[in-house]
Amino acid sequence: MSFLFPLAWALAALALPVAALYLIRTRPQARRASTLLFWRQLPPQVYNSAFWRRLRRWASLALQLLLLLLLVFALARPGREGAEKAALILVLDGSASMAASGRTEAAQAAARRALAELGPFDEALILQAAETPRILSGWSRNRRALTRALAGAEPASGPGAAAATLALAHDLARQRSSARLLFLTDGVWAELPPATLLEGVALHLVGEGTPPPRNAGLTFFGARRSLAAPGEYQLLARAIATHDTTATLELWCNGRLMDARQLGLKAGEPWQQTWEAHEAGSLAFEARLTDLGPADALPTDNHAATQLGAVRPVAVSVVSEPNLFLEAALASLPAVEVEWRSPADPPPDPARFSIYHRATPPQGATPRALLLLALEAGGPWGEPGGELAQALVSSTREEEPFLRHVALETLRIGKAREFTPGPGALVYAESFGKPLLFGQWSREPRWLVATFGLEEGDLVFRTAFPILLGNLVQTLRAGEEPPPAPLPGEAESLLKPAPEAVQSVATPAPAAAWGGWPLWWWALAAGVLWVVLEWTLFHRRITE
Amino acid sequence: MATTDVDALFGPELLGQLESLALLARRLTTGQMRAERRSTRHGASAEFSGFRPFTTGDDWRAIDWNAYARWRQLVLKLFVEEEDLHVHLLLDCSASMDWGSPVPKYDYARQAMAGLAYLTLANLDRAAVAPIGHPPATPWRPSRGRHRFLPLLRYLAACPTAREGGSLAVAVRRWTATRPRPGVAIFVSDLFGTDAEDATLALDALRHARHEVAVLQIHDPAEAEAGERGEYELEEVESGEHRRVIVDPKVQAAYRHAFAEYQQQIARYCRAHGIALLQVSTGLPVAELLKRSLLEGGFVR
Repeated sequence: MSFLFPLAWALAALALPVAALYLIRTRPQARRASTLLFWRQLPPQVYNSAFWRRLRRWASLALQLLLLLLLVFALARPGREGAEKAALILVLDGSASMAASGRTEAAQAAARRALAELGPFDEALILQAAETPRILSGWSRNRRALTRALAGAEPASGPGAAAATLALAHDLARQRSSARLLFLTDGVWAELPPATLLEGVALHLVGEGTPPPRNAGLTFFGARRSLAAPGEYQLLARAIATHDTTATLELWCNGRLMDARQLGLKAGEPWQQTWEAHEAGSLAFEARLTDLGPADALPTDNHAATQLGAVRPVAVSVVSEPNLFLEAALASLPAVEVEWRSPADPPPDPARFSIYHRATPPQGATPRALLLLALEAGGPWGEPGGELAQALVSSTREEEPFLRHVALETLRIGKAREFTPGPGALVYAESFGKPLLFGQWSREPRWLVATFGLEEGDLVFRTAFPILLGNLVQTLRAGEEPPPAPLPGEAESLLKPAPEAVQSVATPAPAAAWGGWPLWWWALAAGVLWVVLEWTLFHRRITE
Repeated sequence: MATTDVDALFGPELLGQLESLALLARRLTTGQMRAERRSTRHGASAEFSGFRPFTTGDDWRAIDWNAYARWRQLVLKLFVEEEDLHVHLLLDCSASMDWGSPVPKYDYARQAMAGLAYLTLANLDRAAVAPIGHPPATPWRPSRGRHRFLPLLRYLAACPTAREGGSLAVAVRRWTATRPRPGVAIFVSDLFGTDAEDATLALDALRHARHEVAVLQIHDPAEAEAGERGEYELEEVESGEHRRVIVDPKVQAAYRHAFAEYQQQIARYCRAHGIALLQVSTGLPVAELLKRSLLEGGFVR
């Protein structure tokens, strides 16, 4: 046997003052009497006999010392060293909904109770299902460190990654032979964890039995640049409420009030609004939901902020002989910086969008994006074949964003070159099986090969090429689109618990033993009470 | 602790009350309550002591007709042996009397005894004081006249409590062995003897010595109770005997019962043998006690 808190045995020294006090206080009070005549007449009583008094005195002292021993024993937190150690993984729901009505505090209190019930050699690990899984504390036997780690479990501002955290918990549980999982949650999950992840997990639902909280909040707030027009942007705000209510939505742009609207929110029905405007500079947007009343449960979804960067010019290097059509097409594009180079002087900067017209890029050149027009030579992009005369575009991959509004089917291409695309290349447009436009534009490094020149056919009379060029430039900007403002999301804002069917997969958490207190606390409390009573009653001689 | 200071023991207030008590005593012996009181009786004797006016209730046969012929006034001719009543005031000096608060029983007994002595002396009777204890102290010889009152007070104040414990009956027998003249023996005591029979044996001894016995039994209010609950090491002041007791409600009730039973036993005894008895606690003012002694009878003739 060993002890979790062996220093408690130092308290055994209290036996000395206990014995001293006992010896002092058991000396009877001296009293002078005028006569013992009446005392002699009293019937003899068992406890008045000398033997009984001696027995009672020593028995009482022995009991007190035994009690002290037991208290010290309990404080030292004994445990059997050889016994199988239990392991507990606590998973705290860290989603935004846990900020409502003291749910985090309730979960922390339940976690502390669970930790208190562990044996001295049992281990625990604490995870938090925040926006990403967080390990608040690794495997530890140190209750104090574990309790300290619990204090850091602040709810996130977004939905909790319950599934990912439970998956991590299951992985970590395999490290111990008898690990059990306890998920402390309010049951509000943006994404329902798979039933397999909830199997064998003890579920402790906080906030159960309390009236459902009322909340109204923003569920989405985002801005993006228009793909068609680089300076234009769109702003979208979405809101929802658990009950019929009214609110005011204030929209701020760069610190100036942009719009303010009175919202009439219906219970569970999303409200949304889009704003469109033109501004090429950087923009900071802020949405505030006000006039909600005091009963709003989640403050985190009443405010959202997002930023939109300034439109950055796309640097384009054109390696070509002078070409008026190409020059005019590029000049029509806003926010594009064009650099013309001769085929003998290819662009050195790989960060630029390079267009080669009737020119072959140098070997080993890997620019950010590469458009090869009227290519004749082979390379990593493919091997050229024979000539293709009067080619018609038979099919295109219309789902590709850069082919939007590009009417290739109307083109008459006078002369093209047959090509066998290189590995990994996609054919975006073809003429009856012969690729006309192929490459890899959906991921980096981007490259696109047009097997035809600009001068052949009726390309110069059509809008297809300028639009294609504009789309290609815009797709290069698309990666800069800012993420929407971090918000709890619809499920969290509605504070709607997961269906009971999902919850029922998990096993309910065992009720806290002995009214939430560990047994040794009760023993300690009983011991203290016993001492107080014994001292009060016995010492004052009123128990006799 | 009993005091020996005569001024502290017999304060002016007590002494002031004694005179009015004497008047009350005289009215009682001559008034309507005559039938309840003992009248002064004077028998024949060779030793002439004086005259006194004839009063209602006096035996007309004792009228001195010669004096009447001379003075035209009815007077009684008094003779020493028959006119003097010996009132023996027996003061229990045992250590058990030196107990009690705020007034020790011994002080209370001496104050009561002073009052009784005053009444006796005012009535032209002879008052004697006999300390009853171990060892026996010097008694106050029978004396008469109010002028003896102050020396008697001094004697009472200086009278010590007994140094040794012992039987009450033995101490009383030792006094009766001195063959005091039969009269009224007023025993002022707590009647706490060595055992439950000791007191009655002492009273037997007085009766058998042909005294008219009256008993003034004094106790302290605290003696009637066992005291607060707890464990005590009791020490008897008289014998020094120790006894360890644990007082609980049951013991308190048993003690209360034992005390009351003892008091009743004394009362039954006195009733059976025609002994005047007054059972008082030291909480009763001395003047009130003396008044009761006059009204209830047996203490003053």
